[in-house]
Amino acid sequence: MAEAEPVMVQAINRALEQALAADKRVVVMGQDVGKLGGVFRATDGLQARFGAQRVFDTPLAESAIVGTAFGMALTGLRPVAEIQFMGFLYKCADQLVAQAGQIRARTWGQTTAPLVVRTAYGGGVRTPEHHSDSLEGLLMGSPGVKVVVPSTALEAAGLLLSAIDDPDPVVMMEPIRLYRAVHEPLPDVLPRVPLGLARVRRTGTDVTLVAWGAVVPAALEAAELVASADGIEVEVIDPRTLSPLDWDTLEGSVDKTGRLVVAHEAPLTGGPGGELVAGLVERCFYALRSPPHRVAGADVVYPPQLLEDAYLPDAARIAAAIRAAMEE
Amino acid sequence: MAAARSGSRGQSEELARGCRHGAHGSGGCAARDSLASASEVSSASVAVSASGIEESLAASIPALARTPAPFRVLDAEGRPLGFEPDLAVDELQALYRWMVFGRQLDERGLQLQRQGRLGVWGPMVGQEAAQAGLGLAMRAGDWIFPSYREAIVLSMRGLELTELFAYYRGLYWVADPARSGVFPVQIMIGDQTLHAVGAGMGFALQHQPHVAIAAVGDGATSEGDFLEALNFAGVFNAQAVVFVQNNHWAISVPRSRQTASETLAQKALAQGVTGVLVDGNDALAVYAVCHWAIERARAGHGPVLIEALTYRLGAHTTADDPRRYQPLDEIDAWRTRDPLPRLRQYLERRGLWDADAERDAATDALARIDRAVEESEALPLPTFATFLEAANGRS
Repeated sequence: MAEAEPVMVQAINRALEQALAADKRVVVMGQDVGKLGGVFRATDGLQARFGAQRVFDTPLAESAIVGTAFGMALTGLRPVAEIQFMGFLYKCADQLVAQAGQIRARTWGQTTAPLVVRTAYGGGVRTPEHHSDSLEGLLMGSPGVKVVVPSTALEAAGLLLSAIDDPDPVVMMEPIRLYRAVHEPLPDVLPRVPLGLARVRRTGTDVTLVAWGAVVPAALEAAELVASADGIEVEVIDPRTLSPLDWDTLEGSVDKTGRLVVAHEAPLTGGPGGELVAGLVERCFYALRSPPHRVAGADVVYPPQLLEDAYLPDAARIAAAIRAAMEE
Repeated sequence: MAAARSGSRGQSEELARGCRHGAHGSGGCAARDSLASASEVSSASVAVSASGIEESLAASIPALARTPAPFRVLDAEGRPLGFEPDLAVDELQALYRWMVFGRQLDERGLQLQRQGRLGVWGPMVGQEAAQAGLGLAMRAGDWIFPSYREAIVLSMRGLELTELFAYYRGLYWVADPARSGVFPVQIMIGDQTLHAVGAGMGFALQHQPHVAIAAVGDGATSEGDFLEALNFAGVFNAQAVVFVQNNHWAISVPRSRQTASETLAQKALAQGVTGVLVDGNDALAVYAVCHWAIERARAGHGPVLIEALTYRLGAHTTADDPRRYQPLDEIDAWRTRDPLPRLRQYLERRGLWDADAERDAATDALARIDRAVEESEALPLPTFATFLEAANGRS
C-alpha cells in the first residue's frame, strides 16, 4: 500500500465529505475552514469540492459562529461549526448552552436546533495557553447539549455522522493529541456510531476503568501494564458519549468487577469523574468491593505547556490507581 | 455575495448623491444617473427608487447624513410631510386598530399582573406605533425573533393571544414557532440578533424569499452579540433586519449611559450595514422604513439596522419602579408625542376614522383580550413529566 492509512483528522474530513455529499442541508462553517482547510486540516479540500456557499469561513467571533449556526439550523440547515479550540468555548457558551441547548425545552419540543460544534480539546502537544482545556464537565452540567468524544479515527467519523443527524446541538470534542496519533483503515462508506452508546475497549473481570478521548490510549496501556505485571484484568470502557451517558453498560461492568477507576484530563473538582463515580456508587453500591478512584488533571488552571506532562493522567498514574483499587 | 454587497454600497452612494444634488436643485440629476449607471447599482435598488422613499430617507442614514434626522411621514399633528407610503384604506385602518389593541392589551396586562393572573408584564405604552408599523411590513413566511416587549407585532404575525398569556402566566412558549414565524421572546438581551441573522443567512443560502427580523431594545445595542450579528449580517448579506426600539431606558439606565454614539443607527455603519433612523412614534414612517428594509433584504440587497426612536412611558416590567429614576418632565414631554392621536388625526382628516370606529376598536380589542385571558386560564397545567419528556426528547 503506497499511502499510509488515515489518521483521525482525516477520518473527520471524510465524514464531513460524506455528510456534505449525502445531505444538501449540511453546511460547514468556522474560522479558517475554507481555503486553509481548518487549523488541523479537518476541512481540507471541502470548500473546493462543495463550494463556498456550503463550506465557508466566518469572521473571528465564536459567539456569532454558534449563534448564527443556531439561526441557520432553525431554517432547516444542518450546520457543522468549528470552534478551533475548546478553551475558546467560553466565548460562545451562552449561545450554545442558553440558546441552542434550550430551544427544545423552551418550545415544548416543537423546535430543535440540529447543529454540531466541533472543537479541538486537550493537552499534550505543547500548545500555548487557552489551547489545551478539557471542558466536558461544564457541558455535562448543561442540559440540552449533547457531548461526544472519540478516541479512534473510525469512531470520530461515526460519531460525527450521528451528531449531524441528531435533532439537537451536539458538541464533538476532538482530542488534539489523537488527531494524527494512529493510522487506521477506514471503509469506503463510513458507518455511524450511535450516540449514547459506550464501547468496551478491553474486557476484564477485576476493575472497571472508564476513560475517553485522549486518555483512552493511556488507559489501555495501563491495563496491559497491570495485566502483565500484576495479573490484574481491567475492563476499559470508553463512554464515547458523555452526555447522555450509557449508564447500562457502565453499571453492568461495575456490577461484574466491583471496582472502579475513572480517568480524565479535566480538573478533578466538579469534573466528570465525580458524576460518574457518584452515579455508579448509587447504582452499584452493594457490588463495590473497594472505594472508587479518580485519576484527573489537578485542581489548577491548565499549566504552561512545558509543565503539562505532570498534569496529564498517564499510564503510570492510572496503573497506580488500579493497583490501589485492588489492594483496598 | 460580494457582488450583492458592492451593489448595496453602490446604492448608498447613489442615495448620497441624490440627496446632495436634490438639495441643490435639479441640475444634478443627469450627473447622478450617469454615475449610477457607472457604479454597480442593482435592479432592486432601481425598483426601490421607484417608491420614492430614498430622497426622503437620505437625511436619516448615518453614512449619508452627519447628524441623521429621524425619518418622518407625519408631523406631530398627523399632517403628511411629503412622502406617504402606499397603503390601502383597510391597511391604514388596521394599522391604527392594532395600536388601539396594543394600548388596551397593555392596560389589561398590568391589571392582570396586579391581580396575580399574569406572572409578569412588560408595558408597551408609548411604543405602539413602532410595533404596529413593523408588524404591517412583515409578510407571510417572514420570521421574528422578539424581545419581551413586542406583543402587538407578535399578535399581528399570528401569535394567538391565548398563547402569549400562557407564556406570561409562567409556561414556556406553547405556540409552534414554525406555524407563525414568531420565535419565543428573548430574555437574554440581544442574543436573538444572532438568531435572526443566522436565519437570514439560512434563507439566503437556500434561496428562500423570507426575511428574519430581530427586535431588540436600546440596551441590546451594547451587547457583543448585537455587534457580532451586524458584522455577520454584512459579510454574509443575510436576509435580515435588525429593528431597535430605542425607548430611551434599559430598566434604569438611560440611553445616554448606554453608548456615546450619537445614534444607535450609526452602529451599522462600522459593520458595513445600512442603518436608518426613524421616528418610532410615527406609525406610517415606521411602516415605510420597515417595508423598504424588509423588501431590500428579501431581494438580497443587504441587511438593515433600523433605530426607531420612541419612549417607554410605563415601567420596565411590573417588577420595576421607574419613579426612582425616570424624570417626570421627560415623561410629560413624551406623553405629548403619543403615537395614537398622531395617526388618528391623519385618518380622521382623510375621513377614515371617527369616534364610533374608535369605540368599536377598543371594545373589540377588550373582548378579544378577555376571551384570551379566560382561554389561557382554562388551559390545563402540564405535568412536570410532560415537561421532562418535551425537554429531553430523544427523537
